[in-house]
Amino acid sequence: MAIPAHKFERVERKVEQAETIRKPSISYWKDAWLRLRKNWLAMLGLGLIIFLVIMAIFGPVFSKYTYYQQDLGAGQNMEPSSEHWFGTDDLGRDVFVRTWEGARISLQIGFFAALIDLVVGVLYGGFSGYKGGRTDEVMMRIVDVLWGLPYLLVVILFLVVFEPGMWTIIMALSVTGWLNMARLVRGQVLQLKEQEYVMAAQTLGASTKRLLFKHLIPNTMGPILVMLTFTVPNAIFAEAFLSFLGLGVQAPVASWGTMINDALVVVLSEEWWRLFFPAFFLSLTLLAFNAFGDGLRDALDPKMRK
Amino acid sequence: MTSSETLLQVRNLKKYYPIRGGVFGRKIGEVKAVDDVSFAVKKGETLGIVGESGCGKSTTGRSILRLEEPTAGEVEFEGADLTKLSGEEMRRMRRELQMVFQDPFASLNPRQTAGSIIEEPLIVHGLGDAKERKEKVKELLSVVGLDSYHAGRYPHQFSGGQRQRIGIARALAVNPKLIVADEPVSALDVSIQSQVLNLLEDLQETYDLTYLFIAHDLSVVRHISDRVGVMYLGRMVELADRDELYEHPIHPYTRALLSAVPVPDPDAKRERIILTGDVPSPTNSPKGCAFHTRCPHVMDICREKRPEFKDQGSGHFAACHLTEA
Repeated sequence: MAIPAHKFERVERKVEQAETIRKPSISYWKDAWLRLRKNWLAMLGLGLIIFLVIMAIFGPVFSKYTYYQQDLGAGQNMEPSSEHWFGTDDLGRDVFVRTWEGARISLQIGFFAALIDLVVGVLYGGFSGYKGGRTDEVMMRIVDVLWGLPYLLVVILFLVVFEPGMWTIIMALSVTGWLNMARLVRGQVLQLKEQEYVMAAQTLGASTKRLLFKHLIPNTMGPILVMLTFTVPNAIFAEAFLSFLGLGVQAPVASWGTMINDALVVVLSEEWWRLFFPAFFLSLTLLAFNAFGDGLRDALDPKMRK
Repeated sequence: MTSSETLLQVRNLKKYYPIRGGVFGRKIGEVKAVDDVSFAVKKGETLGIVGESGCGKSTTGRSILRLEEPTAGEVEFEGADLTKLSGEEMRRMRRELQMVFQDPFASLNPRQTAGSIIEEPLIVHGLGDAKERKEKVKELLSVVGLDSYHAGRYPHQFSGGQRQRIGIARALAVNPKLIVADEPVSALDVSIQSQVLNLLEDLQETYDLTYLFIAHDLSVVRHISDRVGVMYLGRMVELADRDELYEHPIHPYTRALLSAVPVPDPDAKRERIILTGDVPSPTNSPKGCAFHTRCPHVMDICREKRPEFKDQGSGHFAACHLTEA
């Protein structure tokens, strides 16, 4: 098919426009976000995380019950109903309120454990990798030794020595939790510090602090973030596991782990709701974080760029 | 313009890297990357350093700036021995000595905008407030031939030549006296190389800069340098004024190197000196003259005694026993 010449319009090339870039200047994070947005599973994970956080904060407010309020007598082991949305447990406590109360504890443990890992691991690993040589050698041997400690033993020791509770669990998880992060950051820093832009900053006379926080760590942020999204569910799971062993938060405070533990004695009887709701939301949280972390890893990896 | 005043004096600079091995990481040998190199750079001149890959020219540049701690030797800059300065003194001294790097893709932090890269030296040395720094960044961008709107862009949005201009602007930000340019054009297209070289020459004139220009491209070095030094296996073998070196090379290695430069004339008669063998390993450098294993004029003394690097007349330095025969 021939197109008649008059249909064409001549476009002049303008010199002053030659340098303009159509697309706006996109930073690394914006670029990653654009890629993350296309990943529906990761976005579903992110949506679930936001939902869970909101419910953990406001969930108990929706109910007229409190997590420790007992209704002995008629209120025990009630099925889910319009009165008690998730039913009640053997002491007549509302499972809906206790589930979100448990979400508060579980999510807090997840976030704080991840935060401590982040701060300690990044500083330790970053310094070790940057200094290199003997300093690095000594610091990494310390990590190796701590790595060799049986984690369960440390945690149990902690819970025996200190008063059991949320903060004790967080501290116990953090004793060995930051080791992975330190190793990751050290490895990244070792690799990055040979880059010429780091040498350029040294030539400028930049301080160690500036090199670490302006040049090395920002360029490691991708892997750090990905690791964090896997640290959070790990800590939540560890708490549930410890509570299940009876080492968790103490009654009447609820966490998903203690609720599952309490419900286990009746798992074979009729009261399925007592096990189902905490277990369901625990699984959902782990799934959401893992899906999000997975998507984040893909989005932050420039090699995945299409 | 070149004056006779010496800005940088390098004396017996050595940089050895230990090789560790065995169970306990004992030192089992060393790589002599820079082996007893001495030279001077005069104020306002460009000293070119050429040599093949692995001859230690980059390590020399980095040792001078103490990016690699020298094993031995003195680096005297404006009367102060850089190797003896404390950390903080050296940090302040770095304003005077800057570096332009080889790989424009690796020498800029991918997370920083061009503006913040150029601003960084000003922040590090506490020069000016935020507004003055922004002005200075704009000025520097225009000095190196970029526009002020480029400041908001990230390194990946620039071409290789443009990135190298950003690297040069960063080096200029603190008004240094000496710039060590470590193969600044080797990674660029030939068409861009001349632009960047011309920019460097213009800047030298405007800002009264002194360059230590490291390269492996003999024609580039000839174009930009006032004096040229030739390195082989961690040693300086010859150093002379540019025309003197290219017209009347003394050292057999320099002669062989120059004979390898292609001449853009198909009818030109040229005598090629083809060296046999490979460069010996710097872990086990030859006794005597480093070049004796490949030298076409080798004598007995070359295998025994290391020739002295000395003036053969009118500032033409060379290290070769032939000059004494």
